[in-house]
Amino acid sequence: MKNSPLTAILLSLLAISAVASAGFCFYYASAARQIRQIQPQVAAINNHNAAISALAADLLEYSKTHPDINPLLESAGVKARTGAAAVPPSTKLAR
Amino acid sequence: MDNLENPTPGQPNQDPTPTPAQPMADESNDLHAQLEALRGVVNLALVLMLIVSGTLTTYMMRQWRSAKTELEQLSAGITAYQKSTGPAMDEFVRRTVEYSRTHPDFAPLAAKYHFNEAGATPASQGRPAVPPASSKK
Repeated sequence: MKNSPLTAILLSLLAISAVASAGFCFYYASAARQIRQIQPQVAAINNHNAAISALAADLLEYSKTHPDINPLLESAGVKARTGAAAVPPSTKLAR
Repeated sequence: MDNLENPTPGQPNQDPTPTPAQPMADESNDLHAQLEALRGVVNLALVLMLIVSGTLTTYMMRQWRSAKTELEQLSAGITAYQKSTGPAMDEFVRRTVEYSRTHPDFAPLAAKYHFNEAGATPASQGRPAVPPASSKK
């Protein structure tokens, strides 16, 4: 009985595809694990950004009755940016 | 005189009984056909498995690329925050704390943001120097 070359080719392709799938699965799991590990840091940064934004808004409100705080706000770029709810240099991360 | 036991080669054999080789040949042909059919089924199954495996491979590759891109963006954001944004915010908070010490009118805001308690925690280390926005107001 002679072996069919088509069967051998299909078996080879299937083996290659299976190995590639397993490799991609491993890399994906590794990247997902790293993302989970930095999630607390990202959440802390986002919380901090939100708190600083609230502080900046309160300081802007405060500056309406106490102009002596304006140099501080202007040096931080809070007042120069907008006149309303200005936000200091904060970038919210995706997660 | 003719030998009835051993006919001469020129005479046709009158005995109709088949030789044992003929059914074996039929059986061999039948097995060969079955083998070819089985081979076709195996090839079809292999093609189907290849399609499924290829689809899974493509899906896993896209998932991996997506996760890798997200991880790179988050890492870049964290690095940028720790290098520039975080220290700038720390400086802003530090100067606000200093301002609050010399201006008694600022006491309500200083109490609201717990300046006396959190001033030592640098934001660039990934921990907030002021309470989260959700805990205020």
